[in-house]
Amino acid sequence: MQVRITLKKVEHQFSAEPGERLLYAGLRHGVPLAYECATGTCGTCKAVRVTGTIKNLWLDAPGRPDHGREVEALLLCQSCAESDCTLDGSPASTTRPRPQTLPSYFEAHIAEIASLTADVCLLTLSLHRPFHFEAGQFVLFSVDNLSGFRAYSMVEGYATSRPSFIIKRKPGGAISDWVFERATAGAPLRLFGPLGVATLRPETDGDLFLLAGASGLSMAFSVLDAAARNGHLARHRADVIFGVRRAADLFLVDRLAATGAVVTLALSDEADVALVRRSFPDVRVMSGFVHEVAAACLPTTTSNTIAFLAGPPPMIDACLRHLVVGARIPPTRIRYDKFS
Amino acid sequence: MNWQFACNKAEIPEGGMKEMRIGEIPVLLLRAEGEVFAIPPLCPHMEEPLVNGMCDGTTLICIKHLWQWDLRDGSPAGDAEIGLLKYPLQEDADGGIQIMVETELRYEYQK
Repeated sequence: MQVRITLKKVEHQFSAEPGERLLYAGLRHGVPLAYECATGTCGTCKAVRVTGTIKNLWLDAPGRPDHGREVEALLLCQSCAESDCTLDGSPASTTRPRPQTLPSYFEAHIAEIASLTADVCLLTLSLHRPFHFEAGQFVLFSVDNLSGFRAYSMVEGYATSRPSFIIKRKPGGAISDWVFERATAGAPLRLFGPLGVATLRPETDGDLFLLAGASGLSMAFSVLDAAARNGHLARHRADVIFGVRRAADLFLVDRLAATGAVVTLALSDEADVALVRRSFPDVRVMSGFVHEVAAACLPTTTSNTIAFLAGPPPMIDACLRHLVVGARIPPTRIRYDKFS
Repeated sequence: MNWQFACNKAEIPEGGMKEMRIGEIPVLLLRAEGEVFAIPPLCPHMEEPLVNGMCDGTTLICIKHLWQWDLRDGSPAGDAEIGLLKYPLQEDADGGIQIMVETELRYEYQK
């Protein structure tokens, strides 16, 4: 199918395979489409059909446009073309650098699943070709016979054919249920990526302030991995605040401490913080949510300190308020990709 | 062309916001550094309700992608690519806020 889309008066054209989501087809052809979660929840990739036949793949998508107000509105990530079509959409921000690697599809299979807590595991995949991405980006998973895609951040900071991912089990989450209940080594998946703009830019970035909730820790590992390999950590300080509810929810703390970053654990619902402090003598342990702990122990920021956020959207919103209004870090120095 | 009473200034705390309708037209009132401003309630970027955002002095910041504007003149800052539209507003001697809302202000992409 041929798709023409107008983004702020500039027309772009690309081809889409039968059944392929329009967002993914456009992005892999380099069309600068606005997106954020790419999985139907945020509404950022909203567009309006002008001509042609479009199929909606998820009628109840949380991010779907207000159909009462705009009857032809759709989400590009949840739509495919059934004929040649024309659309009006939104362009990606022009003020943020675009990652260099265009996303594409990858066939993969499970290499290993390692349990980290009762509801978190480390999933390692084997890909048929190297996966190039920038530290901090994410990828979408698709599994045969399960509808839709699910976003996960890579733990590594450099190109690899064996990327790993921290998977937290979500109640009713089709892909996380599959990983925890049915998936075994060798099981196939399809990936689409890399996606996301919250990336490390070592040529201009300075100190790093990484705020991570639960499985958002993947992003912190990815940024720290790249920063260690390219020498960034030898020149700049890195602080990580890793938040979970209770001590039983903690994982990979020793690996995090070994990165060389100054690590603080934020426990929002732990009765015996003193015991946790004794268990992890190499890191700081505090009570509270990530944004509360960030307010209490924000390092002295410099003019090029970069804050990275990853975790549940409510955590990101709370941290944004603290960083912008409380810590007065300019919004242009705060990076995050919201997906859930 | 008429000024229409919106609310009393005291109803909006410093740094606070108040959503309301003037007739059928939705308006967001904000109070920043003692001054009240009236704007369309949705972000000109992705239509995020600006009431979810935050004020830092006279800078309004949308929570979705951190677009920023100076409320005094609507000028964009940071990542914001277009300016903020504002409704004319005046404060009477008793602290009453009056707004001039003839037609709904709409951004170029909404027309």
